[in-house]
Amino acid sequence: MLTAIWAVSLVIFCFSVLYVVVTLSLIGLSLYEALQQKIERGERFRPLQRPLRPGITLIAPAYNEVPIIVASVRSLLASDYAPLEVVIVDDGSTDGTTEALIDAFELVPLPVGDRLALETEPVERIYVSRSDPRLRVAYKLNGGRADALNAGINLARHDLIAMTDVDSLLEPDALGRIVELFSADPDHVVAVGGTIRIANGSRIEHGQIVEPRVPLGGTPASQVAEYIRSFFGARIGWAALNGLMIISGAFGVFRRDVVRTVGGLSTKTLGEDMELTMRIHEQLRPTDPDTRIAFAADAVSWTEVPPGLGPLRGQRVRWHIGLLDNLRLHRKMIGRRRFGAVGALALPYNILFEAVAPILEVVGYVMFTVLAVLGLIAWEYAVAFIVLVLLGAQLQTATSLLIEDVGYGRYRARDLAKVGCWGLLEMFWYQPLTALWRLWATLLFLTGRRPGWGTIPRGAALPEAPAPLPR
Amino acid sequence: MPELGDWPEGLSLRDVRLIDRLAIRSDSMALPAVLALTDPGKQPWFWVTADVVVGVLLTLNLLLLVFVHARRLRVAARRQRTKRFEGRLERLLAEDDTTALAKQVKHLNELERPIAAEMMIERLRAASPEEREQTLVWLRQIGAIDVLFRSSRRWQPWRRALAIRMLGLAGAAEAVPILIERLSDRSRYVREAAVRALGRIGDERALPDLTRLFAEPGQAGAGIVYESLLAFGAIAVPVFDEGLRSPNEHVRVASVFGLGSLLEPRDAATRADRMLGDGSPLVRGAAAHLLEQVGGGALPSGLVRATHDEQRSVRRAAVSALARYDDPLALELAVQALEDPDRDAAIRAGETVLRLSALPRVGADAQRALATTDAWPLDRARVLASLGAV
Repeated sequence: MLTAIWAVSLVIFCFSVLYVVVTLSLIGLSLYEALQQKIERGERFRPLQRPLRPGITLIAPAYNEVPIIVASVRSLLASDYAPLEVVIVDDGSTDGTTEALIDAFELVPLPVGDRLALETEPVERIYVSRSDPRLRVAYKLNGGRADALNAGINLARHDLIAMTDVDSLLEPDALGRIVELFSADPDHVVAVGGTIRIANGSRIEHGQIVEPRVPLGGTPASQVAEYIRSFFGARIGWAALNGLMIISGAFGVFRRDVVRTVGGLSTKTLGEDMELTMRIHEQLRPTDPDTRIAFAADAVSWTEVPPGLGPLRGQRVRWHIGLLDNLRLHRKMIGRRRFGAVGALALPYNILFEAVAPILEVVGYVMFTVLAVLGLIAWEYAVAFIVLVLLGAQLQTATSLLIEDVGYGRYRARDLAKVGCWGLLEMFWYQPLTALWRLWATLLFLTGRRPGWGTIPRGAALPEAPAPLPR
Repeated sequence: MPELGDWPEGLSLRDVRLIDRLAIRSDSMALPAVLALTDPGKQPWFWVTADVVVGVLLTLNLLLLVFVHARRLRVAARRQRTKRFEGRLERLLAEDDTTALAKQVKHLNELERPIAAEMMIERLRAASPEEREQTLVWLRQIGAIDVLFRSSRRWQPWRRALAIRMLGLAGAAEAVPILIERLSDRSRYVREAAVRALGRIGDERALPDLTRLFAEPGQAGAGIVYESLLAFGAIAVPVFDEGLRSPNEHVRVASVFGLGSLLEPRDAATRADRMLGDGSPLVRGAAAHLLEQVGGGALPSGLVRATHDEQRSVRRAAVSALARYDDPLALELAVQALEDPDRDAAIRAGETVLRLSALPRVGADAQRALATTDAWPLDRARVLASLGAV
């Protein structure tokens, strides 16, 4: 028995070392990329005002959002990008979300029309704003976030579509910064993700963040550390390898023709944003290996994260089921070089360090507790292991903070210190909790207790020919 | 049951039982490996390795901490210095007596020179040709150009890219050979910085190399090379003309847009009309888009065909382009397109009919069509027009 326990400990130890090595390599690559990008996109960078540039339709689904909807729409309309169209899709709200918009923006009805490319729940009404004709509002029967986004994609007029949430605050120059990446390589870039930053604790004026701050509480502050690691410590690196597996639903820009051609967002999975990104890789890369999904770390959308553990638990369970769903749906890509870095590196990485890791983590915590109770812990090993993991994790957080500071510098030194401190303490409460929730999500996934088994849409009814982006 | 005495010293009974279960003899070659795995705490290498790993991680953490704070201090100090120096430099640069100014610039100290160089380069963004020439002289005098030359060969790619970017902003013609050399740099960022810098300088010597990059995309972002070529102005027209014959459809698309930006509308329209017969829908779409920019009286024959193209993206662009041609045929095609199976093409057709109603020749017919045709794209266009959104 003890030998078996020792063998499991050895596996966990080796796994942890491997994780530290791989993650630090990824962060190193992210740092290298961030330093290079800073040259052309540094603090003095302003997106070019081109005579010809692609229009963007910004789509935001809303469901029962009366308290925030008017302020959120004003914030979305504050973007300095042109040509811009903002489409708010009310997904069957029962609290009068659409009525609030009608009053605030003087909406007048537009004919709904027909010949919609993607199948969705019926769109009942469409409006355009008299005070700002860039704003369109659609009211449709309830079908969920992905269905609402698909309805928005059907109504979009411009070549690029940006997907966001109504509770996100987009920085005014975010769309311009993203379009710079499309313009640099208009023939191959099909989607660009932006950075999601956490708005909790920051000072907001007129729908814009004026003083970015890190919240005091452990739950949101640990999420700040987590987001910084994820976006600056990982996604920049994955994007450099063209192995980005997800463009966050909270802010990402896609070519409209590509999204329609691959069939829009899947309504059958909880991780529809990751699923769309993966499907684009799966359908486009075998025929065009140069297809690129890029990441603009300096294009920022701010969002509120769950301030307490209860809502956070629900969010993490959904995310993890979404991840497992996608790994299952796109298992054919695993290890396949025709899908580039996604098949060869990103998918194996996610299986090992996102899907399997929580299981090993929880097993490790349980074993540690049992052995400690039985007095069978070899404390010198345990301390050595904890110190190693702690230092490795701290190095990961500190390097991600370095990327944030050198590359983007949004936070004051004391905010960075706050993130660093909470990052250090994470291992003792936040990591075990999230590991436990993810294990729970795995059990739900394995027992089928989730909203349906996902299916991959195989292209829209009317596949769309690619259109050249104006340049 | 194995006995402890049969085995090497220092083993616990647990180890011996495990080894026995694995059927390893006490003189086996595998014994050291098994011992190392079963109880590494007894192996010196384990603790040495652990010490080294912990030491390295600790050092890296400390270095990071020091680096972040040192950097913050450095930035703060530099900001203060710049603030103090800015006023003085502004007064210096406002001097009418350029000889006296040159003398003073020469006497700037080591800390002041980089700040002066950066400020001068920033001023170049909006400078007139005379101011640019003068500022370049000062930059040479304080040795900034030489420093940038040296930096453009440093081993860190971001240093090279930064130096190249500054050389481009400075517009120093003597930098052109170095920038051309950097087009083959091993770092993509450096190559792209060189492409941008050459576009900013606009020296003809760079054109053959940029033409090569344009014709064979991959070495640098195609959009970056395209923009750099556009910055050369009319002398880049032959590059785009040649690009129209490229086997690569993306090069042809870029060439269509490039010619649209650089040529007179009539010449651009001739080429776009020809490219509407291209085999690639991307190119046909670009050509239709260009014809929308150009507009005119008589409808080009290629555009008529494009409104019935098999690819919806081409039809969309063509239907939008119809709005710029004061030709009865354009109205006829736009009304037909209201029934296009593609929603976007139909919407654009509605907007096109509405736009045509404002043109002198077809305006009256278009207004009649608006009044008599029952189609939702027209209703939609009418609502949007009432809000000034078409």
